[in-house]
Amino acid sequence: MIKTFLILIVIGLAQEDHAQKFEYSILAIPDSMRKNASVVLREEYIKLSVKNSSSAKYEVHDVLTVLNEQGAEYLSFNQYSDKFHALDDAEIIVYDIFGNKIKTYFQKSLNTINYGDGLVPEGKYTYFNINAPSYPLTVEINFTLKFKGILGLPGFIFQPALQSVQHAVFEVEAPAEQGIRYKLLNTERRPVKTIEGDKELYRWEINNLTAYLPEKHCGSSSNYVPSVFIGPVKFRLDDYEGDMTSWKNFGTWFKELYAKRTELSEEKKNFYRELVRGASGDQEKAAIIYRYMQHNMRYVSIQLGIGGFRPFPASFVDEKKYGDCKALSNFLKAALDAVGIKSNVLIIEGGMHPRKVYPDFSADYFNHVILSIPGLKDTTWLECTSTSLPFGELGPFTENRAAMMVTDSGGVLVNTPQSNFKNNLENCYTQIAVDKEGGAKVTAVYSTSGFGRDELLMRFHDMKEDDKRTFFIGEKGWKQPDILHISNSDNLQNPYRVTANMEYEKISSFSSGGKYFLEPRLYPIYKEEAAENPFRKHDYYFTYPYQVSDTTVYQFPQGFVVESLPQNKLLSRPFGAYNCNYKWDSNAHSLRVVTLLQIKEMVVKAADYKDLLDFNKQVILNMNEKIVMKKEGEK
Amino acid sequence: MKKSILSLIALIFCLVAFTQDKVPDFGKIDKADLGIKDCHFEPGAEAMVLLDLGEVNFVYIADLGWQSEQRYRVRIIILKASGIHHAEIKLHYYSKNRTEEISGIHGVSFNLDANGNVEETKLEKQSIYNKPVDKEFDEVSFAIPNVRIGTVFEYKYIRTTKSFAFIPSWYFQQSIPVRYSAYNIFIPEYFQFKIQIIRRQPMEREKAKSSSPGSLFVMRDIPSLKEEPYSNGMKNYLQRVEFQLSKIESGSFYQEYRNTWPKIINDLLDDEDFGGALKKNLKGTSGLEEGLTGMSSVKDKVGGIYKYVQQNMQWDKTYSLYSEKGTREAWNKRSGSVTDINFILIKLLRDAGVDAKPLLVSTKEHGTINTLFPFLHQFNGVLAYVKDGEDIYVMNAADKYNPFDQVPYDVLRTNALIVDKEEGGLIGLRSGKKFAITVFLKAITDENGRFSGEALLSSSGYARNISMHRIKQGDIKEKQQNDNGFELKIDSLSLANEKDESMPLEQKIIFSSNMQVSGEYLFLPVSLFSGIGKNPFISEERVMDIDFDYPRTYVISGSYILSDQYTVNALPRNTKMILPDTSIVLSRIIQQTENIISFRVLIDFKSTGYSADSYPYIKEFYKKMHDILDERIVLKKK
Repeated sequence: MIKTFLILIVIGLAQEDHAQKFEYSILAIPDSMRKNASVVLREEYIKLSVKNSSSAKYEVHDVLTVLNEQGAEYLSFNQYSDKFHALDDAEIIVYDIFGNKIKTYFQKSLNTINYGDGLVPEGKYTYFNINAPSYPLTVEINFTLKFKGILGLPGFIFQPALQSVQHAVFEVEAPAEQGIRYKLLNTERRPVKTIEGDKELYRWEINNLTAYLPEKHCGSSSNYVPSVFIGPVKFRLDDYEGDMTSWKNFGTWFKELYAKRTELSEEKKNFYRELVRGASGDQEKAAIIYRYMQHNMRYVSIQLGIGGFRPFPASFVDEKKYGDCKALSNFLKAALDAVGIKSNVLIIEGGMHPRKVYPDFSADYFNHVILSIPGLKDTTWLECTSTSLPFGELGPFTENRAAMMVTDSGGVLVNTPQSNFKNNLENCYTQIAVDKEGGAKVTAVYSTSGFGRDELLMRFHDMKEDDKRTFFIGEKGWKQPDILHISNSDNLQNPYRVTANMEYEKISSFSSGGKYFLEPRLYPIYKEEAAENPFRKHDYYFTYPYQVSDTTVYQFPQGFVVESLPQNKLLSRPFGAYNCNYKWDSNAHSLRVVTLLQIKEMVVKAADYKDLLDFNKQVILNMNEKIVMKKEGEK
Repeated sequence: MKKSILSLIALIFCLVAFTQDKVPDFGKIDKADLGIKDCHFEPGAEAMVLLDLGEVNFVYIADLGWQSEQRYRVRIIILKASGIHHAEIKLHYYSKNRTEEISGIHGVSFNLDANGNVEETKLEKQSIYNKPVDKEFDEVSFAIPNVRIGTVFEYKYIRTTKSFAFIPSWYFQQSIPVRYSAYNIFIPEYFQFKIQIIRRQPMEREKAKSSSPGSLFVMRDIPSLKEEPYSNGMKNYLQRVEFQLSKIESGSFYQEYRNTWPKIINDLLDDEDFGGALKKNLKGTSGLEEGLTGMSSVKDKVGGIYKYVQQNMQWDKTYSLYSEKGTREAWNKRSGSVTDINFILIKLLRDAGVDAKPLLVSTKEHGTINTLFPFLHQFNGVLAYVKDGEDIYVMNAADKYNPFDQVPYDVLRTNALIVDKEEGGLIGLRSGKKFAITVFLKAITDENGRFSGEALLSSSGYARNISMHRIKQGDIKEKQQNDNGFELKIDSLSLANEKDESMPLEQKIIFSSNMQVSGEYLFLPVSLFSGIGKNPFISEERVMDIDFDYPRTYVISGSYILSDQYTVNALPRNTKMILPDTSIVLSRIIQQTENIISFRVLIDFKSTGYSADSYPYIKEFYKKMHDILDERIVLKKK
């Protein structure tokens, strides 16, 4: 017993001593820390001290050795500050490989600019790029971020990809009466908790983590990076104080921010009542008002201070006909109110691969606002910043995730609809009339709904004709024709349709010895990529689930016969399916290629990655197979 | 000094608008314009500028001196949803020392309501924001209210600039079509400006008929200009008019301003932030002195010092004509603008006894220098220039991978100005170097339908620089996985001559891949690893000339050894394709000797530039070239 105690003390002392004289030289990096690493986190000490609901201090001390150019991103200092966050005491010190100090940069020599795409600056951005004459290079970065208002608090990421960690400490200190909340993500490392007087202290300490290689298509990094998520108990921005310990309470804070912002004049209310006159049922009424908003209002970003969370009044949007996601959602809520339809705003994270929201840990995971109308059976979901989404459709930017609904009685965590491949359909029907010389006239009719439609409406629909041609060939990958005419649906109905009339001087990819080698389709049907990796650790994420069905019909002149056809292919996996069939009609001289591709599930488990690789390989191989035709009488 | 003399010349001008066209007043809408559905001279445009008006006056204000006062007015119609963002307006201005100010902002939108009446919505003062961007610039921003498809809106504002020597350039051409554009400038008679006009369409220009001297420039129906692949910068093509003060003459007072190249050179050399900055001594360059000992030839010294600065300095991605923060600060931070970095290079070269001179350049992005118009603002950066007998070195130490004896690609074939009292003047920047990629491939097929082997990829000249950037940016293994329809598996990649810039960069790649198949047939590529990529020339229209920067050569050669399972069914034909003027040549030779197929594809782009007129030929050549590169060796299972 005594023995153990002694050893502990000795180690403790030794560590203390070590911390005093940190060895900056790269000789102190063991080989194990270099494996797979572009950067070694030599020493890190981060302390978050929460003083009260609106004030906290975040102090960072980092020593990093960047081993090669791939780690160069660590040689830049980037920090945002705004009304609620002040950057202080920033300092960068550069050391050579022997640990000799080369250079110190203080905060005043760093660059600071305003940032924000909107009409007003969202805050300041301080940055500095450290020159690396050669690698390895060691840098020490120290800074303090002072919180003058709290909504979210910085957590702690143990280790991103390509980074090894020699020693890191994260401490959170809070008044005992106030407390702090934490959530462990992808780790079991619990903190050591101590109480000193009226303060609670949580301490995480890590040693000697070897680097791991990055993998692509992993979704949000919060799915797998070991980290600690910190949430306040009480929080405050300006005069708005809240309690984050439950979704209900957190939502109440938003409710207060939105209060008195949804008022419209009686005249305006009448305008919306008039607009929906004769409509039967709430769904139709809501659809009319949603469409009115899509046609008349536009998205303009204005985020200022508390305005980053609080919307402009509904009357502002009604008058000016613009607003950001909050203002537009809030306006729609007011207009719906006017016609007797109750709706709730939803605070959500927008993006293709959002962070996972933990029901048992209420916190600010969010960056976007949408609207929902509760129904008897189904909820109607409305994205208010889109001018083209059909009423009630969300799309992969906001589907598939948990979000906080702000109701009259506070916040409620709800799930937006699951993405379904049947909502994202692409159909293509191509007729290819081949002439005797091997040229062809082609008509392709392409129609799409869901994500594909949305993408075309945003990127293609408003283009000029020549740009549309360029898009069709360059982005969609169609075999370049000699003549191309493109037309598309005028209105934004679902599905959206594009028709291409093309002429090719030579339709085959190549011809040789009287044989013509033709593509089964004139564009690539499958574009997913999955890198060979026998040790895949993370789940694989497709961007969104979808279905492509393609029919390509070759009509040949008399005299053309099949020399060889690709094999029919049928692949079926839990996450997807691929089915390709060839049918030659020798009387009609026509060849019909029918292909169906389905990506049914967005996520493939790491354990099934091999399955995906195999699927990928087989689809690509089949997709690249050629049809071999020859003219009769030629050999 | 200048100011005190000028303040003697106080005169108030009578401003007479002498526009010949009847332009509707601000806020007065022609109902016919609200019915416009498309742009008549550019169908499909997302929006059209109906009116773009600018007026510049010089006013004398007691205690402040001369100011240029610019009045702007813009009227736009929105034709498509994607054009609505044009109603979000951001005006940058130089706010430091209140050098520029923006005032008098008014905005209004016009819509037709359901009954066909014009509905007017005004921009309110409280919806106009001003935000600082950085220490020098501010931005005024506002969103015009009530804008949707079919809306006509307009706004106007006044920009005052505390400078008597400044008339802003006027761009008739923009990113959306412009129906009517007029620039009206009133210049006090004792100011003389040189004018440079870039246009391809008719322009009406009139002298003022009234007492106040001035000019009016008008253009109509100007289509938009968009980015095009392989162009030497949009800036060269935007139709515009530019001004530079050349002299002030009033009674006994006479002063010339930068109206000759020698004058520009002398002014720069006298400037504290240019000539002055070049004289500042730098501390802490001891590492360099050690490295230089024993080097005697100019070439060695230039190369050594260049490398030293290249390694030690980080480019902050900005261009400038002066060292605004000073070379000492830049050196201390080890970071600076192109000019800071090259000033440091020049200073260190001079310290070592090399006669280095500053070279004013304009990158292609920034636009071509018109040598007849000595305007300083035609340039955007400073490089270092050394003449050593017959050899000339044009150096930009901000470019991490460009060797000292290769003219940086972004200034190739542009004109530049040597800033030197004795030997100053304009020179054309030329290079004997080209872009060359050679691929040598050796692979064998196997019974599983795969082929594997090694590729030796060598990049020299300008290709070396580009390859280095790509390698340093990250995982080149991954980048090369899908090539020309083949899924390549890269087993290893090794580099040679990474450090020795005089040698081609060599990448040795061990790879394998599936053959493409169809029934009994299998296909092998004759083009791999070349990096030629997709055909960039797919647009049917072309406005700008084609600029390939440098001559380019690709040689892809190698051999396949066939395993027992396969026989050759068909080989792509031996082909030669030449552009009529012989400036581009493609040849392909393939032959079979028993079970060995050897091939050689050569593509030689001898010329670096083509006029926009020749676009159809280049487009056709590229299409055929890609067809040829996509052809396959056809094997059949035995």
